[in-house]
Amino acid sequence: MTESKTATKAAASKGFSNPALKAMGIPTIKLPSRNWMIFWSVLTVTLSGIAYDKYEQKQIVKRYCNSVESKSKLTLDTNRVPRKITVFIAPPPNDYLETSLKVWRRYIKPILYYAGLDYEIIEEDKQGLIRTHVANQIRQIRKNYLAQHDGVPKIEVVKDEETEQTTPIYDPHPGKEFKRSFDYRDIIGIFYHRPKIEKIINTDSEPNDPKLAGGVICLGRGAYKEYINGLHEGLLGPLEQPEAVEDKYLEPAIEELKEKDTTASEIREALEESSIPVEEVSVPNEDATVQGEVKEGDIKKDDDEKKEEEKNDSRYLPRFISPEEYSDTPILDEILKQLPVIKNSATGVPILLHQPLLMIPVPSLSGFTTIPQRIVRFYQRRFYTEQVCSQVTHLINQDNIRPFKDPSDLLIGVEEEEDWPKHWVKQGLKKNSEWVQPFKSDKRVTEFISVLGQDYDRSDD
Amino acid sequence: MSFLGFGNAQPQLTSEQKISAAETELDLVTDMFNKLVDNCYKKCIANSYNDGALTTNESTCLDRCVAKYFETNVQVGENMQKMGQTFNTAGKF
Repeated sequence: MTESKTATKAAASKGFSNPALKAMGIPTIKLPSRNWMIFWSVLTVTLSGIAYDKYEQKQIVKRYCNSVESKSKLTLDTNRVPRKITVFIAPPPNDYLETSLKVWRRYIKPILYYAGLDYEIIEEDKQGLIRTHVANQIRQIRKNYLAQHDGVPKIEVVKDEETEQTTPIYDPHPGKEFKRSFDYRDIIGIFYHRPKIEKIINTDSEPNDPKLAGGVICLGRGAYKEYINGLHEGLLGPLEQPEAVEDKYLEPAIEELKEKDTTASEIREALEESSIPVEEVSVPNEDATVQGEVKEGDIKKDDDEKKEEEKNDSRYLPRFISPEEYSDTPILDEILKQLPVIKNSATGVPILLHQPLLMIPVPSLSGFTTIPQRIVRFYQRRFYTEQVCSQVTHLINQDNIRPFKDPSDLLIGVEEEEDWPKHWVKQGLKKNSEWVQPFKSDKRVTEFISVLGQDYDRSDD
Repeated sequence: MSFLGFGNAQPQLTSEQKISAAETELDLVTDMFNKLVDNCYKKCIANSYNDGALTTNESTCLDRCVAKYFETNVQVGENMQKMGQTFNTAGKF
């Protein structure tokens, strides 16, 4: 009897109670055992950290969206088109495009939407596509200028033998002319009461200062490098693709092919020298499964076809001019005559060169040994979103635009390169990947570029 | 309504058939336009009528809505045509 009494007394005394609680009828409060305490505390700390961080991210984005929302409530005439932001998205190395797209969709796109801005996205999954796109645009502008001002009409002419008059073959048959100028809107009755809108005014074409027109966002250090390289290539490089350059950049990979006694997986790796090595990592696995079934000869044939495809892939062109040649080549007349502001002739909008540039680094660590650092970063993502959102808001409000400082502004976002895996960089150097090449600029081009206010003057370090 | 040349694969239509084809096409386009206006109005135009003019947000929303609707319409039409062709070729056996 006494044993049981002491046992119950011991059990009762382990918990917490006081006369007030006893009077209310609340039983003694007992904590669970030490092990359970550890479990519950670890669980709640991790989950609440995640929940708090996600909540804060949403609040930050919401706050910035609300701050810009008034811009979207302004009226826009029906013959006008709003301001347009061009966004270049590149994946981080050794990672998927989805990583960069998540940053875009979660932190940047809502703010642009709430501000009522239009945006155009140019994304890439291989290296070199953004550079090709930007350079092609500038080359097209040069070609258009030359076509307009050369005085040689490129229209074919038909010579009438009786009257010896030349008429352009632009449209000999009235049926075709009718078909070309046919517009359903004339028949349906939309413009019965209101006049038809012939000329659409682009909001970006109005500001006298091109720094206030449009905007460019480069998401990722790779996108930034390719954008700057593309600008230089388009302005300083030739209009047509030089043959010598093509060999210089592709040859190393081809030589590699011939020298080694290559297996199928190595051939695939060498072929995809211009692509983000996410494919390099996945290809050996694929080939391991495929190798047993397919003969080596067949694989080589497929790879040759693939190489032809890659060469014919019009989205990618090798560089027309290398950075060492920037200072030697003069800027040609077709550009000089259009300066100080080169405009797109159809819309009157200054080209991307003049539009303010915002570079947003995409931090992306990969690897096993970096897991603790990645966990810490995962819990600190709200600081990153604060940074991104505030920069985008500055771009929208056009507050702190400053001219490009050559060469220190080439280092914008260089902290992202510290995340780049070292073996990827080494492989890239071997295969002449674009992103690891020396990054140079030319003052004649960069004097037109304007950047958002992050001051990257590293001379003080 | 193409300008039929020599050796064209399309069937030769009489002028009556051409007219009726043009009429159906006009009907289709008008129908598509009306549905487009309805849907994009429901999706894009806000309910509060403070101002008669469209806001920037509504304008961009309308631009995108029209572009998407039109593209989808064209894609669906093309797919239907393909399906119709496969049915035709299957029916010939």
